[in-house]
Amino acid sequence: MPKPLPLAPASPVPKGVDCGLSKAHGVLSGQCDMTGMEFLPVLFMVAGIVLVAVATLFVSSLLRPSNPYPAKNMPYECGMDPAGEAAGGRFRVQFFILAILFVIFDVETMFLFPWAVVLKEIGLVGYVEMFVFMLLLLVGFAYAWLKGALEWEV
Amino acid sequence: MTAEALLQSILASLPEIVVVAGACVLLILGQFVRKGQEHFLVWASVAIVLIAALGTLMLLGEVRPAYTGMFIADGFAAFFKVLFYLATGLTFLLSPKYVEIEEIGSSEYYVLLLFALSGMMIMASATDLLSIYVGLELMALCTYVLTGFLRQQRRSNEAALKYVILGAASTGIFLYGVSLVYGLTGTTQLDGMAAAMTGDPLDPGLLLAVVFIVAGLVFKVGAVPFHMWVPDVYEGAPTTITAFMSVGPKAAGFAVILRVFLNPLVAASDAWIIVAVIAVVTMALGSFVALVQDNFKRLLAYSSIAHAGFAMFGVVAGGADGIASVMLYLLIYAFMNLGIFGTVIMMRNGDFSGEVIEGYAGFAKSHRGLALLMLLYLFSLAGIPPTAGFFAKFYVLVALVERGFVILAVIAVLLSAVAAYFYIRIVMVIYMREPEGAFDPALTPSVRATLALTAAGTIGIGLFPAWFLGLAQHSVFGD
Repeated sequence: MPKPLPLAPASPVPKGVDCGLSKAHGVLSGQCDMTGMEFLPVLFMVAGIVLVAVATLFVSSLLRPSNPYPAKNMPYECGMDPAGEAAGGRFRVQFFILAILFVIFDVETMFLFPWAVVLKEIGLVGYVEMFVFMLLLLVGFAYAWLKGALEWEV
Repeated sequence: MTAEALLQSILASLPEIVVVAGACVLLILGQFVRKGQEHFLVWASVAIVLIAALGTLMLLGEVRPAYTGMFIADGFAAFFKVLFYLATGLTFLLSPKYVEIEEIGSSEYYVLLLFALSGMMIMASATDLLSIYVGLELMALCTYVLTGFLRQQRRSNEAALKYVILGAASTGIFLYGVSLVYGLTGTTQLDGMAAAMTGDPLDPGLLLAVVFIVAGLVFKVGAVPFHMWVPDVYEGAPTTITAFMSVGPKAAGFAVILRVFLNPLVAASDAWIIVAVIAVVTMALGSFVALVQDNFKRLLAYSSIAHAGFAMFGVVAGGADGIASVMLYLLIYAFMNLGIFGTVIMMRNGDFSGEVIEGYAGFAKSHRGLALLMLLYLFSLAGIPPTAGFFAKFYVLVALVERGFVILAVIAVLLSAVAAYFYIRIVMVIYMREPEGAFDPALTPSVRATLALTAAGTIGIGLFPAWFLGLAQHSVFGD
């Protein structure tokens, strides 16, 4: 099983600790440059991605024919004429509420995974703390429910 | 963390837990409150604030670190928490009639204020960049929503949108600074950051990180160059929320800045130069731009920028005297600013908006007592003795001169002379002009109580300033 990255002791961060402390004492060690160098591939990666994206857009803008007309700019609905609310570029506000509710529970799940991985180490206290977190989320959910956010009013 | 350490942590953060739990209960209960029963919400909110205040006072006398060094319950935090209770409690008392007139009365209004209070409390107690961030966001998100509470008004919506976008940008900058600090030093603890920051030679990356973090905090305080949101947001927000924002979140921002400057390593460094520049520019801009305002709320917004600049001078002075002078300044500012906002809120009745300064012409002719109260608050804001506002400025200046920053003290005095002009101008309008119509202030018993309390604070601190300064010093440095 791969170890969770932020907790792994081999990550460059603990080296940074040495770096910061040694600097605080006025001693410059070679390790500091190492920390900077270790991130160099990441910088190359970012630069590469930006370059490829910009180059692709630029080259294709030179090559492709450009001929927009109203029918082409319409939302695509399987070849039919667009119908319904979305055709006017408007969405029902309920979609937004559902999306927000989704994000909230998505984030909850995001917290649940690392919690489950380290559950043995953090013991009973950590176990209970997660339920406090979920209780607070449930209060928000109950509020949304009471407010009628889950009703699809036509 | 063992169960025993957790219990200690829960004890240390009991006031925060009370406020958050109370707000959650009120959020659900509020859905079952029938029309016409809204006063229950006000009194329940005030009760929660009082219980939390009781908890804070009971925890006094002992420094309690909690949550593995991310949180601390000490005298410094307690002083600020009492200030927050005061600001929030008085906002609750000012609200009932106003929300009824503006038709924004709902349980969310009170619940969001309580959540904002808990965010500010966490900020005052935080000793780690991450817990500062959690508190900051909790407070900020609630104030964004509260700013847009006047849903039918364009102005309020515009203010809320501007506030969200600029606030999100500043939060992003703050978080980027935090991530840089963590990358360079391997810690998010304030002490660890201070230790790394004062190293010689200073790492340029770390300097950048600190500048980013300071920028994020300066945004909340409303100091130049991150002040541009203040006038629009203060003008558009419901007046009760403006009153709250000008006192609570501002003090919370200062609490974090002061917590950083409490560290002897930071105090000994050259960080004061940046703060001094910010202070001078902030005060100059706030004072001069306020001269040409016609809208009362906008004028008070620029006045709050100017006051933030003056309080910054106390941060520059640093040391025991400097920090205590800023804390006293914020306490006095809370009283006099909530007082003047109380009178503006009270004037909002019927068709009268209470926002145009000219609308107050001749107010003293028909309402002597209320005009006298406004005079008191305005003189205090201008810094005229024997009101508390004078001593707020006086102790900051004393701290500056003692540290040898005489030039800064002279600049501060000159700029507050400029600021005095626009406060006195309002007094002139109230007293020297003929009234154009009848006034009908919405004086409910709870507004009366607020005005009485703020007036008592403004006069009381003016009469016994040394005792209150001693209180601030005692809460920071013990005996």
